[in-house]
Amino acid sequence: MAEPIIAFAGVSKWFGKAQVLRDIDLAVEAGSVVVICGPSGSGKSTLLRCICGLEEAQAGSIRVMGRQLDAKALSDRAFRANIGMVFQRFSLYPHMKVLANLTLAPRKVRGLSPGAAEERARAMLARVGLSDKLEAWPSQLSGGQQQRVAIARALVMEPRIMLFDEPTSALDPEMIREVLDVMRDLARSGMTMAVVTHEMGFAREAADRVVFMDEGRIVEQADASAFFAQPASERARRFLDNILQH
Amino acid sequence: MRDAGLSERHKAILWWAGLLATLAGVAWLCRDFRWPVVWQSAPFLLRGLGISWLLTLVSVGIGMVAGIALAAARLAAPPGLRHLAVGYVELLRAVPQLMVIFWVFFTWPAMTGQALSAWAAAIASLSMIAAAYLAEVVRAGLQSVPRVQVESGLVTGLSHGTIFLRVVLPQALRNMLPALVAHIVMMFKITSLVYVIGLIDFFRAIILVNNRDFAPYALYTTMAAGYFLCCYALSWLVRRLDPKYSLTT
Repeated sequence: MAEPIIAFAGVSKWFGKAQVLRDIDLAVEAGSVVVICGPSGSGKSTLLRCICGLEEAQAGSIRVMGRQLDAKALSDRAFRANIGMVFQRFSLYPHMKVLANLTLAPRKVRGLSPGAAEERARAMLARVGLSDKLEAWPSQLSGGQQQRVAIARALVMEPRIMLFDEPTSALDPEMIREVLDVMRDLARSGMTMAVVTHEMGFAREAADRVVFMDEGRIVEQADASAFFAQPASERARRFLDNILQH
Repeated sequence: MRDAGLSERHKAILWWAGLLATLAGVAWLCRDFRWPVVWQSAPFLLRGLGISWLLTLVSVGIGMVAGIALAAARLAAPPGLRHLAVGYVELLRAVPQLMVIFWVFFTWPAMTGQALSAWAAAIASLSMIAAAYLAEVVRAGLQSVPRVQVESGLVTGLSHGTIFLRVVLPQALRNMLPALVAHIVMMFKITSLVYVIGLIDFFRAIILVNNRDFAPYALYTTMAAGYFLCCYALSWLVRRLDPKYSLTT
């Protein structure tokens, strides 16, 4: 069996004295979609940020794409660019038009010519349904459109893994669907995805695995269908009840 | 908003009428000042004004580049370098500006045995002052850029240098524009201090003409008008650099 594309073994992390990750073991298979859910402050975002090197674990080991995530790997910028990340908000560069947002990293990191970078940018904008926004400023886009551009900006690097950190949490309800549609599409294309979200509809539909976290621990991880049919832990049951009922 | 009383057009007409009336009133009050003294010395005064502009633009130019470096050092350099940057900024802002000019002009020759021209001393000292003040303006600007902007660059593999120059600095410059205007205007006024080492800027030129011809009312009114117009023009110029994009997303 092939090595998982993301593998955490005994990972722990502290912010000062507060322990935010406790002995995390996690394996994500290439091509699968994992949804990470749990209450606020449970460590979901920190876990995600450890995968792309924005946070460093203080104990345990993290392997991504077969490589130990140490200082050497993190200073390899071409390697880092293989892990795409979409943030909650304010991630587009507001002083650049959409095209420049999408072409900056391909030119600087992948060494593409301006023409090649633009071609790739156009293709990715088409994929997220925003072909007409190439020349727009980020401030001229709706929140949902901004998130779709942010997804396109990650995709132009042709990453092997896409991470999403609550990509719809800051959006008006009407705009959530357009972003989730793009993500569903991406999931169907076979992209490896790790998604922190409260959108249980999306999880039920698109996720292969669900990881439930609380207080820095993985309380439960299961196939999505099994998880939603009947969570094994009392804590996860209560969580689902609370967020599905409102 | 027709029911608000006056349309925008009428308000504009009233505003201009009020301004012109005020100016006319001031001109009438000043009618007996000895204006011919000003006309006769105009070339000399304008030369002084040119020197004030030159010193401002050069020192702000050098000071801005140095200020960016100092701010970056203060925010991101290793401890030793960081403390040096903090020390420099705090020291230069804590001593009188006149003292800095004196110090550079007299201490440099004492330390090196090489005389320093008044021009070199003026530009060096004013740039040092500008760097210290602008460093704090730049620092506030850099800190106003959300952390996620840097992280967005990091996860796409951009280098720290590229992120600083292409992502953070342009946004910081825009956020600091109002403070920048205030400090550039301040620098224009500080250039008047170079008279202590013998340069004849606008301020010194007015004083010299007054010593010769004694027409203080006309000359000091001219000085006030000159400084006001120049500082207003400076802030207008800098504000014009404001890019058109909006930061509200």
